[in-house]
Amino acid sequence: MLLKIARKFFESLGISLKYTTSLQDCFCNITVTGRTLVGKTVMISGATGDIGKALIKRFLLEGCHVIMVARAEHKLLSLKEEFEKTGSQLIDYIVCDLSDLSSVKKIKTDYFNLGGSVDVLINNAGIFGGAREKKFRGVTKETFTLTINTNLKSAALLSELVINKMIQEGKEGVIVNMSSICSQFNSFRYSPYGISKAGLIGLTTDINAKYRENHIIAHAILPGSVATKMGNLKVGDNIAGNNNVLNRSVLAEEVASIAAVYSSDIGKYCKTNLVASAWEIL
Amino acid sequence: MKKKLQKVLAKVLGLDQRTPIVDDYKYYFDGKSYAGGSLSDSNILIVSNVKDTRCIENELEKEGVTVSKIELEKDTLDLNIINGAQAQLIGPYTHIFNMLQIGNETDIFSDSDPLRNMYQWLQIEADYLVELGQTATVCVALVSDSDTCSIVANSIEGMIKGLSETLGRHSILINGIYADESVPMECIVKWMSFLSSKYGHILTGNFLQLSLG
Repeated sequence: MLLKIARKFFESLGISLKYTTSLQDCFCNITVTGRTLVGKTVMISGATGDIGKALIKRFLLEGCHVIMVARAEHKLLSLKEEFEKTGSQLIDYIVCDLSDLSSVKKIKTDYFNLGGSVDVLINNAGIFGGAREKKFRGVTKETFTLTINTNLKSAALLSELVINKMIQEGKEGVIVNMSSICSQFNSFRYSPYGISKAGLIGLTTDINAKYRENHIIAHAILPGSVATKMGNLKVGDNIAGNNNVLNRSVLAEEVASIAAVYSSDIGKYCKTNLVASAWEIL
Repeated sequence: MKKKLQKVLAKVLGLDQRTPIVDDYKYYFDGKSYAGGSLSDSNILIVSNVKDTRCIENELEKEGVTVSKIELEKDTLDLNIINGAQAQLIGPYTHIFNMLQIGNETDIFSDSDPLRNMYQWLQIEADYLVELGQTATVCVALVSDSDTCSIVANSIEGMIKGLSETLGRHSILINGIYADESVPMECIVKWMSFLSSKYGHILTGNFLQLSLG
């Protein structure tokens, strides 16, 4: 109780910025791709998370057909119904436990072999795996395997499935990997989370080296502290006071807009992984 | 009195009193924007050594902006020139695009080399924008068909990364682009529009390399 009062007191001394649904909406109502993504099919892993939901909103706004991938069918169904109520019919889902690589392989039979196609893959699935505790010797094999499988190996495997299909169909494609600034800072980069996010940057490099001649391009985004459940923030919270130039947490909708631009007609020219953290120091 | 006391206490406790930078306006825009419509009705200043900027201006006008241009070959930008360009406009410049085109014939050993030019332009633009006292963006684009551009590109990248925190404290958000000759000018301008938009704020300090190769 005392802690709550103290926190409120200190918050009243500092500057505040309330995270609201109208703040979310004002970062997702107009195209940022010149409407060049209309008709594209976008597969989003980790679709039921906060950044996942923002990605779905953004790509639906851009006129895309969205395929959500996540393990909780009830959440996927709920999201599908939520977006269909707003008038969007271009949304489907695949149930897949991304921590289980055999489940990821099944996407080939359950989707691609049945005629499914993808123009853009967003490897967004990720778990924090206790990174905030900053342990090293205390990290168990289970935590390590779960985090690396979910965040990195599933992304590599899913990318392979998608790329093979793109090459088979002779089409161009884009892979966007959701890395993190945790891959760059010593206080996090030894955690399984930081390691997996660094691995995603390597995956991006490998895909570009191998498949650029097939016109398949990969990009990585490195978000900073984003106002999400994983960042211990939710709608209604104060998101001011982050250690970055904007003095606030990044919004999931802002990260989603970068993924959209990377996937657009101008994205193919960009060779740089974008750090979306407003120069945050961890 | 209470607010003053709060401010003093906040300072003593080391709490950040800077207002968070967020463009929470919900824009409405009919065209095919790369800026989410957030540049519409704003004034953009282009400072450049590029002689023919019609393509750049045409592309920017699609975003609903008012564009002015200052053509310079050397480190001779000053506030009078900026104020003169702005005289006929309603409102100040809130976005500045610096475009430097260099080639094999560019002399990188002269006193007025591209690096010196860009540094001086940024100094004067910082003076202008700090005085403005509101959120503004600066985007630097280096366009090159030179074999030895890395000297200039890496130096400007360092400049931008360093300035992102310094200028950021004054609500001036800076980022940049380095593009080679394989990149159409329209594409460079579209990226500059996105970087200067409300969606580009979180990308402050980034220096993008654009190339088709």
